[in-house]
Amino acid sequence: MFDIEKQQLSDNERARKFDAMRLPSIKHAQPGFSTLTLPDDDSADFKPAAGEEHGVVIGDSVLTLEPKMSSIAAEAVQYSTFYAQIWANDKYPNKEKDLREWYGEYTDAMTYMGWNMTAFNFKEQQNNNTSVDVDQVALKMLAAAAGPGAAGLVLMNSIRAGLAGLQESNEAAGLFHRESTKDTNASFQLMPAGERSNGTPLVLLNSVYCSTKKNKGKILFISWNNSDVRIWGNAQRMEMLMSIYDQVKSKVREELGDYLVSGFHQKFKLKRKPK
Amino acid sequence: MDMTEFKTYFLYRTAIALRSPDSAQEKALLRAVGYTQLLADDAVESSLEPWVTTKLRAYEELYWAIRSQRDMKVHDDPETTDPERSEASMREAVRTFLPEGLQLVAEHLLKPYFEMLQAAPSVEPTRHDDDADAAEVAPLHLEFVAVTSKRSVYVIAVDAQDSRVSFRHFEILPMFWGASLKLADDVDEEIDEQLKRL
Repeated sequence: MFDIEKQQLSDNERARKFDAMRLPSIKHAQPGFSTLTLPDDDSADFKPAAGEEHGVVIGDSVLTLEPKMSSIAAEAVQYSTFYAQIWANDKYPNKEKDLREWYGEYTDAMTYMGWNMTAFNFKEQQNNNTSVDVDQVALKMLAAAAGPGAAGLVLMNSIRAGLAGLQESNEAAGLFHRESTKDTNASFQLMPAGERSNGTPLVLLNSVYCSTKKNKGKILFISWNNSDVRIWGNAQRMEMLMSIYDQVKSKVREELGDYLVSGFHQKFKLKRKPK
Repeated sequence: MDMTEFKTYFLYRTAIALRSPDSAQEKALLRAVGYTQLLADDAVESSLEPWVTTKLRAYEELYWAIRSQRDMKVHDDPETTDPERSEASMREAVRTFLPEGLQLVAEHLLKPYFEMLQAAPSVEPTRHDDDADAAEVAPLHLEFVAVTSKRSVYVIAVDAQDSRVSFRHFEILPMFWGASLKLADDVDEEIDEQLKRL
């Protein structure tokens, strides 16, 4: 099915499609979690202010949340992207090998949860300089998708702060590099998220695939010789149709709850029966 | 900070203060505290690892993301299980680690907490069942948990066995709510029995 057809599905049809997407039990599909930044915050009521953007690494995705986002919008973004990643990982565990198929499943799940996504059309990113930084190329793609308005600017500032936080956080950066880089290939997503004044979640999504001649163990925050790396990518700006998400929200929570608890129980088992 | 905004509880050996939770948040948080207590007690009894290590690792696995953390050695005598020393460690940790507003909440909570701890037989420190000397009392573990907004959680855990106090400031990721509500079906009844309002 072409994506234009997915966009034209009625709300009920999307919800029905999503209803068939049951999550697997925990196996290879679980992406890890880590927070991006660890500010030493001493206020009794933590609410990120400007400059304190926060976010999470979910597997090979860096998600930043604009400080003024409501908890409803933030939850919708985190739940839906996490769900889509688990779904795609389960269908295609070897993302590097099956990149197109992986993104096909990811797009399906996101679309059925209410995101107005277009298909991933990866284009090779050309560079005329002798050296290249993959993170800068990714930011350039994001900026082009962000558009000229104020919302795009806020999201770009958010992802820049998020990448700076990622560099400073050993735990988050370690998780991201482990999940995104396999030998001389790497793929990852950058996702700054915000919220319109009417409550609609808004995300810039940048997906990148890289092939390198050398294995440096990570792909971001280092300079590459231009001849040593090829970069393909896609960036788009998308909004969530909350009327659709509201239809599937309870199932998303239910499925994720089951999925996460099964993972928790694999690590922690009560050794005795309760009294 | 207004104490009336907090709902306060005593669960196992944990004092809990939740600021204006809705019922789903309240249930999820209390289940998380109770269930991780059982896991940590298991770990101590089977000598797998220190109580506080299991407790805090379980919170992290439930999507409590660490925002800041500090650990403090309280004494060098792991054989000591003196409850008064554990209480003193908890009070010192409250003064050292918590933001000012929360210190007041903790002060209000800890007095009835320690009174209840001494009075309630059901919350006596764990005894080693397989120990030849059944009267030997295992180390006293204490915990204070405060939730000050929908995302922010402060934990102080005193592990007398490991002779240390651990402080964590967590941010709860949204995934926590669904996971935690499903967590404790098989121990709900026991947790409810242990739960008391302070």
